[in-house]
Amino acid sequence: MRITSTKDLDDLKSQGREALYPERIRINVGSPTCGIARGASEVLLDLLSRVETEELDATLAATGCLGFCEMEPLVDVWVPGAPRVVYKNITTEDTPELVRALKEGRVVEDKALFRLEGEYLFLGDEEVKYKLGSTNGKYDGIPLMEEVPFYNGQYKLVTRNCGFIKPTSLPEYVARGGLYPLLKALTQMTPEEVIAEVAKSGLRGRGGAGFPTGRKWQFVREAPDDVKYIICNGEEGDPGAYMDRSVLEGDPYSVLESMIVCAYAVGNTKEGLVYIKHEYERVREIVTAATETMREYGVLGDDILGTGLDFDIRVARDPGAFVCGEETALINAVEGKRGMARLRPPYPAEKGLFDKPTVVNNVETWANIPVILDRGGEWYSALGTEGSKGTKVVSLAGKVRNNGLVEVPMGTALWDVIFGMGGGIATDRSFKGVQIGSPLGGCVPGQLLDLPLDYEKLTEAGAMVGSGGMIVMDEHTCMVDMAKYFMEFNRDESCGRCTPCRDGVPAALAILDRITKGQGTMEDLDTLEELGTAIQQTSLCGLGQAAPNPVLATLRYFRDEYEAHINEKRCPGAVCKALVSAPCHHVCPVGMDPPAYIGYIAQGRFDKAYEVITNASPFAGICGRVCDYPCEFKCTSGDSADPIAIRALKRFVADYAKNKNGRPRKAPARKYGEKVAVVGSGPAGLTCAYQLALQGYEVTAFEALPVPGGMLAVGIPEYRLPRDILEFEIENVKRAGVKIETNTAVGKDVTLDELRARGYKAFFVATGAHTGLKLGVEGEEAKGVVDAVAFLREVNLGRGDKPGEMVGVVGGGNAAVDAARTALRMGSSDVHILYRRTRKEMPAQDEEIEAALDEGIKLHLLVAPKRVITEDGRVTAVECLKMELGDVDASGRRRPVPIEGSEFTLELDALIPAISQEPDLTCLEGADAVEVSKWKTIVADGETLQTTAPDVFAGGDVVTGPWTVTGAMGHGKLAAEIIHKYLRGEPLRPTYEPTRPTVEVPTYQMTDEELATIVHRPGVPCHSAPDRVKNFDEVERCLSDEQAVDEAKRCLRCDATSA
Amino acid sequence: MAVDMERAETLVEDFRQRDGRVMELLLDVQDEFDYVPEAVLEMISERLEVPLERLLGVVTFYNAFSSAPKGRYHVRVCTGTACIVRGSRSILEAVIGELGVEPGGATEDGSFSLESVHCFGNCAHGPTVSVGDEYFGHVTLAKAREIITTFKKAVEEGGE
Repeated sequence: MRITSTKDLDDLKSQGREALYPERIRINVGSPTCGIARGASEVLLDLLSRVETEELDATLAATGCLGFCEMEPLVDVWVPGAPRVVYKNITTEDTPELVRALKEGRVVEDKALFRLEGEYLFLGDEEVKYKLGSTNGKYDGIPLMEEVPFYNGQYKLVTRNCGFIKPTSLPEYVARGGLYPLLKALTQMTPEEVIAEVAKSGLRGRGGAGFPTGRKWQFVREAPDDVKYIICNGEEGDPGAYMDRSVLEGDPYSVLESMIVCAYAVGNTKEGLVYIKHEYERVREIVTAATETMREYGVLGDDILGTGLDFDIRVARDPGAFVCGEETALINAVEGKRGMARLRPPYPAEKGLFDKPTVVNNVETWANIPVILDRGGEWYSALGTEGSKGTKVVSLAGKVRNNGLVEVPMGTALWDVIFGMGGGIATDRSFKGVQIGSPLGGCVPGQLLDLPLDYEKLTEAGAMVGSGGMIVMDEHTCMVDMAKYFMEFNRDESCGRCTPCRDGVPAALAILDRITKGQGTMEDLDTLEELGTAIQQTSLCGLGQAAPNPVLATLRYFRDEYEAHINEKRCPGAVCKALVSAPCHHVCPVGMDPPAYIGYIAQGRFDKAYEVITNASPFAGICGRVCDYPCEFKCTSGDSADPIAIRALKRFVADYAKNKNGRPRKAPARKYGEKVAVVGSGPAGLTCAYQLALQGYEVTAFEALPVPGGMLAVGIPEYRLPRDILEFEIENVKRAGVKIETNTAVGKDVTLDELRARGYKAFFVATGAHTGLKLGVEGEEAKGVVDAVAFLREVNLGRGDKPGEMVGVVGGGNAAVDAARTALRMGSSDVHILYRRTRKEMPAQDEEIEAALDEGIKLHLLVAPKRVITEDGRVTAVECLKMELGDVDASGRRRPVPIEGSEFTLELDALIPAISQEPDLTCLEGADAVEVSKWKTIVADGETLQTTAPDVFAGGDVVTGPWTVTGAMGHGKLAAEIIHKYLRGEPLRPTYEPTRPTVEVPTYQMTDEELATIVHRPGVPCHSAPDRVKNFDEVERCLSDEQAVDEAKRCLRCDATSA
Repeated sequence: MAVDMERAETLVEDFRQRDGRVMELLLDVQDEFDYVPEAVLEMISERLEVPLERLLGVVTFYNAFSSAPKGRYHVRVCTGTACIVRGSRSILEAVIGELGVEPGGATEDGSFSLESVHCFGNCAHGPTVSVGDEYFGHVTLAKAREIITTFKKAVEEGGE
């Protein structure tokens, strides 16, 4: 059949509609390349045979991609008279139940991703509403497509047909409005009018450069040559981008139709080429089949649609080279030459393929054309921003939760794409950056996620829209290493024609390589910037000009990471092998060597494990319970499975040793005459004192409170850190020779000067931050309002009372959760936590929040107190405001903003603010030489912890503000090193060394059976919630021997592969 | 291994009949032999009167061509950005360790060859490793070792 009229098209359209919305069941199995990699073909075959054996009246189709790759294979089921349902992650294990359900008229709810009750067609501006019979509410539990966060905010214009039609079915393409725009152009518009419409739309090239499409067509139209060419650039070389593949294999006709329109518009052209990436074999087959079908219908070849236009399209094989995404290199490849970029001008629009005027447009650009012709350039130009019109398809990959393709209007904020549709980071790790626009683009940090998707705005920020690939990176990514990776890529893909790119990129790479090995200098950073700028300005083609972008962007936004490599031999992402050994070891502030002790646990040698741990710190049991485990966030296992339960393993070893009364084996020897005073006996102070004692100094720790331990003793509740553990490990410090004088407040009972007079030669001030901050709202002076640290301190010292019956705690950190759970244990019956952001942003450890919820504590999110309501000077209620998330702030999180008029009241008889703490600086009475910041913290040098008084060093919360136990211990250890150097008259700079295993422990090789059975980390056993809220007994229990050994076997031992 | 020149001659003849572009012939040779033997290139150069240097220039430029025969099992590890971010560098290291060859090389007995590739477009399911036509997604260090062990066993047993 040859199509020559609107009537022919209408007939084809009804034929297609019957196929798309038949009177029987139709099952579409999403079968793009990635779906096939996930088993879509097996699912399709299996469904085919089941439908037959079960005699289900159904037809099946292999369709393109609905974009949500994470949920593949996707199976879309049309049942006449019902909403269509798209099922997720369907394997051949699910198909029996799916077919059975269809047979019985049921829905498989737990596998349903979303439902559709109709479709909107851009072409023809048509709402297709399904005829829905009575469905008895059985679909109510399945969200509509737009209710699924991944699709919410998407605008599927380019990808309008992907996943909805059989890619090579021309009737189904026409059923959704296809070919009408072509017929309209050929019969109702002049070539000039076509070009004018495209120009009016503001459409710009989607391949990377963003050149206005209308203008490009205009140039070629104006060229006087009698032979011209049309090329579709499908050399999708950007690793991480696959929208072109998705469009070509899901909706090839939209591209082919547009190329014909272009042929008509520019004139004098007989041949078009679709140039498809080497690796996309399947796509080539689909596009080739589509061109054949078009010829059969008279849409391609001679006398197209009976209008007299002759034009044909063939598929060109790409021999594989990233640079061929650059149009002049691509043209060279088609001509059978090496894919080297040509000097421009002349542009391909003047002298392109075989020196003839040539239109080269990217796949996604082409797919826009039918909509522009149908709806008009003006309609299209209303979408997007000032300079960037229409939509952009973005591929989300890397560490993002929802991998897939999303299409959004230009101007959409990056935050909405990555955190809204993408769902943020897939694990508990934090977001670090997103590489936008291929290895030629740049990496954007969290605080810039407000940036809109816009050609100019992204370029200004040092990234680029490029092809729309977005690779999301979490904290276990090193930005220097990424820059190095991109430079390797760009070196490999440089065509070698011009010097700046061919020689400049390897030169930059050599510097980056040095830096990742800890051998860089600060001058290297200047050189990199100069070199990068020179390559940008003097390279011949787009690849060379953009090649240094990743280096320049990371230098701009992540310079601190470069400096850490150079100055401290530290890789903040814990990636660079030459510096890191195992990531867990590298990031531990205390210098623990987890692979070593875990290696011993795997062998059942728990005593050796204890020795490894206590070589780093005498506080195995404390760290094993209350550490905020930075190690687990960087654990290599966590890249693809559960991170190793490092903290729980450490606790296991600590408990094992304690039961045998094991003690650290390191013994002090008095070597030096100097005395050192440590002010405050918290985690920082005790660590410093212990380490100095081991080095051979006489150390005394002065503690204002009646008990040693600081926050360990009076901040953290007993149910998290039992007193016997704390006392047992403080005993380690005493045994090392440290004297602890409790009830001695420095500044009050004795001043620093008096201690100097008593012969103390150096001081380490680590008094913590024990004063709760006020909320700053009316009425908080009332009775019944007590800050969290004061409350916890009194309870911990055995002096506390039940705060009230109905208690509200304000804050989202560990102190807030501790206070709430403690209130419950003190007998309060109704405890609420109020937090102004969302759960995701709560700084408290997730398992603590979970435990609190288990215990019946109620969590109110996006809520902030506005006023404390009192009666007779006592709190009776708190008036709160609801919040919503606004702009992205400097921390890369969206700022909470109050919703006006959203006030509500929560009745309470006690209110516990737990928003933050500040130091109490009484200890500095009479020590004026020590500078204090406006936040009431002590000013200490970041590298040496030395204060403005040369013999006074300070660390922990008193310097940083509220921080972590392990961070404070790290400061304690650093202070000990520096104080030793100070007393020995050595330069104060810390010694920086790459992390190396402290001891070689053989790697345990799991058996096949173990590989299959030991897959997940063990859940930490806990006492049940109703039991545990009655007392202060420890909530978490220890892993069993077997659990610990199995978990230890799971360790990948990345330390063993470090060379 | 001797090159079957007759097969190569047939390709050149077919090519002459359809009046194509040289690139297509070279790709046909690659498909037929799984690499581009130098003897074939010399023959093409003579028959089509194209300088050998030009053909070599093209063949060495593009990724589609390989200059040496691949192993019986051709292992490819994706080192595209998305896979790298998900840890494929250490996976490549592990595979190198298991096979004892660097990317671009083959084992002495010809059972395995290794290549690192820049992107399969399977980013959503990375890290990706392929052996022959078989693709493996969400590859972990343990899974990578397991995959190689399985194929090594296949080699030992002499089966497919």
